[in-house]
Amino acid sequence: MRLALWLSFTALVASISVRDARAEWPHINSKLRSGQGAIHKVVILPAQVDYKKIRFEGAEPRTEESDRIAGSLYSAVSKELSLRGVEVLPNPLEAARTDAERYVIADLETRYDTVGVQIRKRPGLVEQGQATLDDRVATFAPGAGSDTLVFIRGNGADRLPPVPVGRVPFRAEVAFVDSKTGEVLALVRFSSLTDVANKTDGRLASGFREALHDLPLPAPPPKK
Amino acid sequence: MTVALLPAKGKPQPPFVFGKVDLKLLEQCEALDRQFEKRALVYHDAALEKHLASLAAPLLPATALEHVQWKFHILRYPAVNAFALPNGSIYVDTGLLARAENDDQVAGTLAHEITHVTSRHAYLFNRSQRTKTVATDVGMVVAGGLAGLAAVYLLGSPAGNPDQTGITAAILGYGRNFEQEADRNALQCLKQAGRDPLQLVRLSLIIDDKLEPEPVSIWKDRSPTQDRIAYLKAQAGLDQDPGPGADGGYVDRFRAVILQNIQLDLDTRRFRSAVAGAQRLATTYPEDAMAAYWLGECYRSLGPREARPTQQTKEGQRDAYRQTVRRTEQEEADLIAATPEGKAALETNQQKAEEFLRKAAGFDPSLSEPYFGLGVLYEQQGKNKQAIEAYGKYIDLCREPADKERARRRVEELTKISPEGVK
Repeated sequence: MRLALWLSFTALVASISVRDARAEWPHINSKLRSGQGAIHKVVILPAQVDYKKIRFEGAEPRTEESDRIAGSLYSAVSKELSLRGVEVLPNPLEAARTDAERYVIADLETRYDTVGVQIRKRPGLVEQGQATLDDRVATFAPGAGSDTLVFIRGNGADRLPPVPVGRVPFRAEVAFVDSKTGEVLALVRFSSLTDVANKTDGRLASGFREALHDLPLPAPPPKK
Repeated sequence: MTVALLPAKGKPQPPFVFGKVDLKLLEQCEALDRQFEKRALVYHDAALEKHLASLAAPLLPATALEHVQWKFHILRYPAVNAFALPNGSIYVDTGLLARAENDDQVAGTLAHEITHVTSRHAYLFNRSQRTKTVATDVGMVVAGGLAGLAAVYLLGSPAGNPDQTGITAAILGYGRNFEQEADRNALQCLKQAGRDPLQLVRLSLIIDDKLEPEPVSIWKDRSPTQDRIAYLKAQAGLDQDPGPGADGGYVDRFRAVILQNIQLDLDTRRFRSAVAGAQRLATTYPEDAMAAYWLGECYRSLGPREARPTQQTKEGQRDAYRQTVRRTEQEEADLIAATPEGKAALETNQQKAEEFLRKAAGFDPSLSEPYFGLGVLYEQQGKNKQAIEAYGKYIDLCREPADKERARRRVEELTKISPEGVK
């Protein structure tokens, strides 16, 4: 009996540690659950990633890797949402021609980060419908044809030696915000247990796919 | 790869030899410059960038420095800060420009940052931090054997904050020695350039006059800025604080930056700073519709908060910061509004908001924005009929379809609550 318990515990630990990605329970606004809100057409804001390299002599911010991971994260989110029947509108930063248009995007990102501080600490605010960016988001021109704005944040570190316990190499969060009222409709979080700086795309996509699983989207999640 | 340094205190310094670690830091700085651009954090205004460069020109060393290309940028960030990357990119935050009173104060800031670059502070700090971290890690392993190794491995280095690298120090501030060297040199450079060195002391006083809750150290009684003010005053031979140095020409020149910063302040819940910025514009341009509009809008956003921070004790300040971080904007406002002081402040701020929004509408009857502000204000006060009227006026004047739509949605919501208010 003891041996069986020990073996099953070992198998469980092994199965967790070999998985590349892990998703947390999503935080869904009651409006979205009850069907009062919907995610059909989205504008995805450029992903922002903070990635560091940590060695025995200290930490170094890795701007190039951060940008590369941000690009992969954006593609993964875009692709997975399309697979779930969501229409993804063009990247607003690519469409921005003037400084003023780029500042508007940056200001909206800042606004999300201000609210992000609280929802990271108390994700329950999303479920209670108390997290909002205010209806000023409705004046965000690139979001005109959309019903939802998507914000992506990630942070992680490349550690040597890699630390298997307690520290997750990479965490990401994706927030869905009503593009008319500014209310945060959902917050999904996932992490990658292995290096994302080199083999990025697949790992991030599988993490996000899993995190999206319970979100009410036009198409059902793909069968495993 | 050697270069002669600018003598910071008149005495010659040994040439700086670039190592592999320094070149790596330089590379990271170039990448950071690109990232600031990519994230639209750099404010572009050719005239202002040229003005900053002209303020800096007499403060720069006569000879070129290896791996330094001087560039002066405005960073769209509401903190009252400026920083220099070791590659010669100097960033002045909109928050600092919005609070500085005159060009001498900005020149003082630039002189301080230029010294960090010419004295290679970022490289020296980076090298020393790396050595300290490795030494502490090795010390842990030697002292603790396997347990020490495991501790370093699992918990990270005990040598303080792992984020404290050359770049973060360049942005957030170095140790006391480097900061004092930069201040000493800045005072000297300002004098040589024919600028008033006391304005650097004045700017430090402005920086120390904190309007927003900030993290407070448990260990120190004085903030680094207070230490800096004492040092600057001693260096300048001052026993009193220098008086205000307001310059209307400065506000004229940086008007667009101050406006940008008001929006950034509002977006980051720095309501008191937003009011201060808008107040400055409204004082300089007493009959300007946009200045009056922003002041009204800022008072409305200030809600039940006092225009000046009320927490004087360290515990009070720490608590105020914790509340801001933990609570949403609405939760914080509700909590303060429930107190007698909050109620009184809310009433005063709403009166001021209405006064300035009405003034703005009077100064320029074709301006739509004040009516939206009034609509929101009346909505907050529960005066739904007046709110619907104000939104109606906004819809009439506004040209942007998305803005009209936003106001229409608000009217729809209010009509559900108060049908008699329909226009």
